[in-house]
Amino acid sequence: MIEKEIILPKEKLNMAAENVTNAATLESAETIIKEAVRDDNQHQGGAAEISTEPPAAITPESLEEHQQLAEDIVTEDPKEEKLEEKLTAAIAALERNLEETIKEGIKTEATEELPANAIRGILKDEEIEEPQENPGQPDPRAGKVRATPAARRIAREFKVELDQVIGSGPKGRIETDDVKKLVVIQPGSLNYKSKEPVVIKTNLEKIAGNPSNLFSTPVKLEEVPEPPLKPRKKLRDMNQKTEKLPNPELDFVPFVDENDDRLKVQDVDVVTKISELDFVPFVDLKAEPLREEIIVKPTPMHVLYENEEQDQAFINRKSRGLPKRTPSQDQYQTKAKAPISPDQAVVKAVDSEVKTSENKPVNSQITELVKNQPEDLLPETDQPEVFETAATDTEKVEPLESHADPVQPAQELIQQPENVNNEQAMADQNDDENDEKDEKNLEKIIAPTLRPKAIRKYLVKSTGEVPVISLTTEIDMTEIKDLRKKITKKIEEQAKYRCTYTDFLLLATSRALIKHPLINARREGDQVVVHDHVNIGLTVESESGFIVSVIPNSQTMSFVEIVKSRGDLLKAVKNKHLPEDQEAATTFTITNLGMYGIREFTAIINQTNSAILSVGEVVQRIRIHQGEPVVRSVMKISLNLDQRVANGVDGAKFLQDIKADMENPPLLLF
Amino acid sequence: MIELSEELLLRMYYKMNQARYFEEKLDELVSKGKVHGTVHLAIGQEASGVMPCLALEEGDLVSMSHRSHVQAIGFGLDVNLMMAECLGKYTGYCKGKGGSMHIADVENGNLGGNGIVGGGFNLSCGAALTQKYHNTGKVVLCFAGDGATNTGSFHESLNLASIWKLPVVFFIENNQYGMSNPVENHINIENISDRSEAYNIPGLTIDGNDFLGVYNTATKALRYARAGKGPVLIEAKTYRYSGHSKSDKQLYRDKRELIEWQKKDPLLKMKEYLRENRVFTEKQILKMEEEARVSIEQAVEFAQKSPQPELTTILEDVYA
Amino acid sequence: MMKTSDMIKMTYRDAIRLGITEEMRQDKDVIFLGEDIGTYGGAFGVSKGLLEEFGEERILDTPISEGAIVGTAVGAATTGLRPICEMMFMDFITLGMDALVNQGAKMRYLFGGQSQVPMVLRLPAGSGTGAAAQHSQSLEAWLCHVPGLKVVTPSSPAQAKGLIKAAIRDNNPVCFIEHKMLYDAVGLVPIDEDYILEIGKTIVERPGKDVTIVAYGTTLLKAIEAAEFLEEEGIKVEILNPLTLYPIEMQPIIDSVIKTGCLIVAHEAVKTGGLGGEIVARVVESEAFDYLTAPIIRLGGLDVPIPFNQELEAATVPQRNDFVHGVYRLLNRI
Repeated sequence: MIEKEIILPKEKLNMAAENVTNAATLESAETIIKEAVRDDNQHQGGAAEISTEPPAAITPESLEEHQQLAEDIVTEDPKEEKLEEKLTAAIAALERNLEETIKEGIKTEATEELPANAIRGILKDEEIEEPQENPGQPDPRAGKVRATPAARRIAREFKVELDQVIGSGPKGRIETDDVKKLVVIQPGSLNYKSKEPVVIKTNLEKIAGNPSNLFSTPVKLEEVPEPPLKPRKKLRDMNQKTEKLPNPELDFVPFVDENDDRLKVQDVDVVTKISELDFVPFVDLKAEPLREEIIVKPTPMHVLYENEEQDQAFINRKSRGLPKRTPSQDQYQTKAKAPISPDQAVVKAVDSEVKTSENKPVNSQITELVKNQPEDLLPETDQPEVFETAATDTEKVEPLESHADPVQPAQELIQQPENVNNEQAMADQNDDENDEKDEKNLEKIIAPTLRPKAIRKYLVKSTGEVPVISLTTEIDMTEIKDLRKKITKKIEEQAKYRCTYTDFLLLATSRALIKHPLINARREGDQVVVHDHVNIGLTVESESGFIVSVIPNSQTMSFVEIVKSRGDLLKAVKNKHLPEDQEAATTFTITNLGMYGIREFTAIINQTNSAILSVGEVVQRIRIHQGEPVVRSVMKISLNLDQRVANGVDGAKFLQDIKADMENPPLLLF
Repeated sequence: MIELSEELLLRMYYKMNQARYFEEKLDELVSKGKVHGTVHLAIGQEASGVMPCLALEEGDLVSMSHRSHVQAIGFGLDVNLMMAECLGKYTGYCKGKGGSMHIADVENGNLGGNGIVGGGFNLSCGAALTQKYHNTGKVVLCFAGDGATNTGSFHESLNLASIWKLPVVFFIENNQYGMSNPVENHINIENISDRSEAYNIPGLTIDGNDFLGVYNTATKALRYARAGKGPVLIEAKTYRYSGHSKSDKQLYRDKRELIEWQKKDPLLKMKEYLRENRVFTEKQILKMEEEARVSIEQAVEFAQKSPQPELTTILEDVYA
Repeated sequence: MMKTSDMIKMTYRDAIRLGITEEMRQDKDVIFLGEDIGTYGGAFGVSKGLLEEFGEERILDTPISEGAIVGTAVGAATTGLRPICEMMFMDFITLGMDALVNQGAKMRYLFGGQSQVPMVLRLPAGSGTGAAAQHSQSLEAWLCHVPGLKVVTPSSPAQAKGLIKAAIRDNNPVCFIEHKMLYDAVGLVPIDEDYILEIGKTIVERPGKDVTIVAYGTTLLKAIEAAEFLEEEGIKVEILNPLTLYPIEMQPIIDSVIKTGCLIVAHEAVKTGGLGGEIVARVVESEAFDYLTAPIIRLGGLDVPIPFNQELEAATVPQRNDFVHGVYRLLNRI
C-alpha cells in the first residue's frame, strides 16, 4: 500500500491545487522551505500550508518528476498567485542562495524544525494513511491470545480461560507454566490423557489450608486483626438505646430480684450477647464473672442447714475439719451436691406456676421486682433465690442442692409428675430418663469437665446412619416484633420475665407439633412412637457445653407459662442448678445460634428425637410486603428431620404452620 | 541375402495392418472422447516401426520412443492389453498407470515407450551394458525420432556405446518433422546417419517405407551389434500422416506433401509386393487385413470391458 | 551390542570403499560407473584400489556425460545389474536429472510394477572445501521431491558403511549423499560384513530432554558440539539424525518433540525450500503440535550461492553458535 502512495502523488499533484505548494517544495525540501519560511514572516499562511499539507514520499525519481510538475502547476492556478510568486521568488532565491545557504548552514530554529517537520510530516502522511495492511479489515491480532500450543492444550484440558492468564513469554506469549498456575485441581478429578505429570502447582489462595487437598501448601492466612475488645459495657449502658446495639429493646431481660442487696452492689459487666432471640445465655469469655458470682456467693445458710442431715458428705467434710471451702472447692462441691434432674427444676417451675397458692409469694416477689425495675434490660443475675423460694414454698419440691441419695429425688419426682400431669407417657419417659440421668449424674461427678453430651452426640452421628433432610424457611418477624413491644409489660407482670422471640417460637412450635405429631415422634427400632405431649428442648450453652433444657408439656401452656418456664430454665442453667442434660426428656429440640450472627445452620438431631429446629439470627432486610419493598425483620429457621419418621412434606407443612403463626401472631391467641 | 519365408511375410503384413488399424482405432476413440489425455499416432510409419522389431531375435530388447504403438505391436505385445492400457484400465500392461506413451513389457525385453525425447538412448546403453556384462549375446534396439538426435543424451549415449562397444542399434525414424519443426530447421545435415561418423560407428540411411529394405538393414545391423562390434546408427526416412498428437492441427505442413507421401504408403507397397510376387492370393490378403481389423476390434472390446484400477493401487509399486 | 573389538577405526571414505568392496565381492552384479574412478581412484579417493580388485569390466570409467552415466545405470539396473554410479559432485546431478528423475525414479511405477531399478547414485555434496558455488551445493531437497527415489545421507563412517551396503542391496534407486568435508572424519566402523543400517530410519544420536535438534551431515557434528557446550550449562539437548531423508521416519522426531516441546531443524542446504521445512511441517501436523512450548527454529544455509572466501563460506551455513543461540531462544533464556 505504501508503494501505491508513492505512485499516486503524481496524480495528486495534478488534481488538487492545494498541492501546488507541495510540488514546489519537493524540489528541495530544505531550501525551499527555508525560503518559504522567510516569506512566511510576511505571509503566515504559506508556511502553514506547506507544513500541514506535506506531500508523499520524496524519492530521487519523484523529486525530478515533481520538479517538472511543479513548473507546470505553478503557472496553472490563478487563485494562488501569491503562493506562486512566493514560490518563484523562492526558486529564484534558491538558485541564488543555494550554495550560500548550504554553506552557511543557516540554522534558525524555524528552519531547523521545518525541514525536519516537513519531512516528518511527509513521512507521517504515509504512515498515517495506511497503518494496516487493509484499511477495511480489522487487525487480525485483535482479540487473540498469544500462547504456545502446549499451553493451549493444558488450558483446554483444565478449562482455564486463556484471557485470564498472564503470559511470561516474549510479547506476552502464554507459556505452559503460566497456565499451570491457574489450574485448580479438585481431588479426584484427574481425568486427562496428556503425558505430563500431574500438575502440582495450584491456585493456593482458594484451597490453601483445606486439609482435603493434599497438594496445597499451608498458607498463612491473612491475619485478620481481631476486633478490639469492646469495653465491657455496664448494664446501664447496655440498656440505653445506643447506636451500636442492634436492638436494645429486644435483649434478654433477666428477672432481677429487687430485694437482693447484691444487685446493687454488683456492677459487673455482664456477659450478655445482645441478640433478638436470646434465650441462650451463651457464655462467652465473659462467663468468668458469672461463675465468679456464683462461686463467690455463699450458699444460703438455710439451705445448708436443711440438708445437713442428709448431706453426709457435707457433714463429713465438716467433721473432718476440712479447711474452709474455697471458691473452687465450692464450685466442685456445689456441682457434686446438686445433681439435680432437670425434671425437678422443671417440675418445680411448673409447680410454681400451677399452684397459684405456692406461686403467690413468688409472683408477688416478681411483681415487686418488676415494679421496681425499669423497663429496660434488667441485670441478669442468677436467681437462686427465686428457685429457692419456690422450693421452700413447695414442700414436696426438693431443695436444689439436696441429694445425698440420688435415687430418692427421682422417686419423689415420679410422684410429682403424676400429680401434675395426667399423662403416663411422660412418667414413663421420666422413669427411664431419670435412671439414665442418675447414671449421668454419677458420670458427671467423676469427671465434670468432660463433655459427655457432645461426645455422645457425635457417637450417635457416627455410628448411626440417620437419613436426615433439612428444610429451611424464612419467617417475617416484624409482626411479632410489634406485638412484643405491646405486651412486654404485661408479660413481665405475669411471668416475671421479659418475653423474647423464643417464647413466640415455642408457642408456635408447640401448636404445630400437636398438629403434626410425626415431627414430635421418635423411633424405637422399627416403630415410630408418637407422643401426646410436647416437651420442647432448648439448647443452652453452659460451662460444660451445650445442654438441653426441657420445657415439658408445652402444648398446653399459655404464652405466659411458656415465658415463665423458659425464664426459669435459663436461670437454672445460669446458676448451675441445671447442670444436667435434659435431652432425653425432650420430644423436639430447638437450637439457636442467632446471637452469634448465624443466619441459618443445620444441627444434629438429638438421640431420642426425630427432628430439630435451628433458629437463626433476626436481621433487617428488605422484603416485598404488600407489593412494595420494605425493611422487615426476618429470621430463618431450619428443620432437620429424620426421614425415617416423617418425610419432607410433613416437615414442610410443619414449618408452614409455624411460619403462619409467627407471621400472624394474633393466631397464637387461639 | 536375407531369406524371407511366407510365414514371415504373413506376419509382416498382418502386423503392419494391425498397427494401422490400431492407430486408426485409437484416433477414432480419441475423437469420441473415450481416451483420457492424448495419443501419439504413427500412421504411415508402420514399416519403419514393425520391421526392425521383426528382425529381432528371441530375448533381444527394445526401447521405444513416445510414438510407440507401432513399434510395440511389431515387437509382439498383445493388442488387447495395449488397448486396455491406452484406455487406462487395470488390465493394461502398466495397470493403467502408464497410458499410451508408456506401454512396456520389461520381462519380455520391451523397455517401454519413453515420454522424454531422447530418454531411451541412455537406457538402451545401460541395457546393452548388461547384455555385454553377462555375455548374453542379446542386442538392444533403440527407437527414436529425428528430433531426439539433437538431445545431449543421443550424443552421450552414442559416444558411450561406441567406446564400450555396446550391443545397441539406434534406429532413427526420420518422419521429417520434430513436433512441428521440419527437419531442415533443426538439423544442419541431410542425413542424420552422417552423425555416426563423429563416433566412428556405422551409419545407414534407408527408406523407411520400404519394408524389405528396413528389414534387411535391421537384420544386418543387429548381426553387427550382436557380434560385439559396437553400435549401429540407422536412419529410416518415413512420414507420419497424423499430427504429432491429437491436438495437432498440422498447420505446419502442406496437404500436398501428405498426398505425395501417401502414394508411398508402406502398406500399399507391401500389398503390391505381395500381389506382384504372388506370395498370397487376394483373398488371403484381404483375410489378413480383416483379421487384423477384427483383432483390433476385439482389443477395443476387451479394453472397454476391463475394470478400472482400484484407488488403493495408487500407492503401489512406488518402491520395489 | 557391538563390541569395540568388532570395530576398526577408519575414515569416512574408507568406510564407503569398504562397503562397496564387500558388496561387490558378494554380488557379481554390482558394477561401478563414474568419472575417473578407475586408475585415478575417484575424485575423492573413494574408489582407490577397486580397479585392481575387480577389473575393468566392473569398474567403468565413463566419459563426462552425467546423463549417460545415470541413464546407463538406470538401463542396466532395469535389465538385471546393480550399478553404483557416481556424480563427481552433487551439483552435476542437474545434468543427470532426466535419467534419474524421469526414468529411474518412475520406471517401476510407470510400468505398473513390472521393473525395478536397483541402482545407487553416490553424490558428494556440501560446502567447506573452497570449491565455490558450482561444486558445493546440497541439493537433497530436489531429490526428496521425487517419489520413487530414496535419499540417504550418512554422517559418520559407521553410518556410511552401513548405509552404502543397504543402498546397494536395496532394489530401488537410492541417492547416497556424502559430505565432502566428512571424508577424512575418523570413526569406529564395524567389521561385520553384514552390518547394514536399514533404510528408512531416524536415529537418536544423543538423548536429552530440553530441546530437540534434527540435523544431518556436517551440521550434525556442529549440533553435537553445541550440545556438549550446552551440557555444561545444564541444558540437555536431544539430537536426532534422519539417516534417510526420503522417505523420512518422523515418529522418533515427533516423540522427541513431545518430550521436549522445542525443536530446531538444521541442515547445510539452503533454508528456503530445504528439507527443514518439510520436517517442521510434519511435526506441526502431528500430535506433537500440542506439546510445543516455543516456535520451531530452522537453521539452514543462507539464500546465496556458496562463496569462495573461506570465512564467507563458513558464514553461509549454520555453525555451532547458531545452535546455541537457537537453543537459548527456545528456552527463553534470551
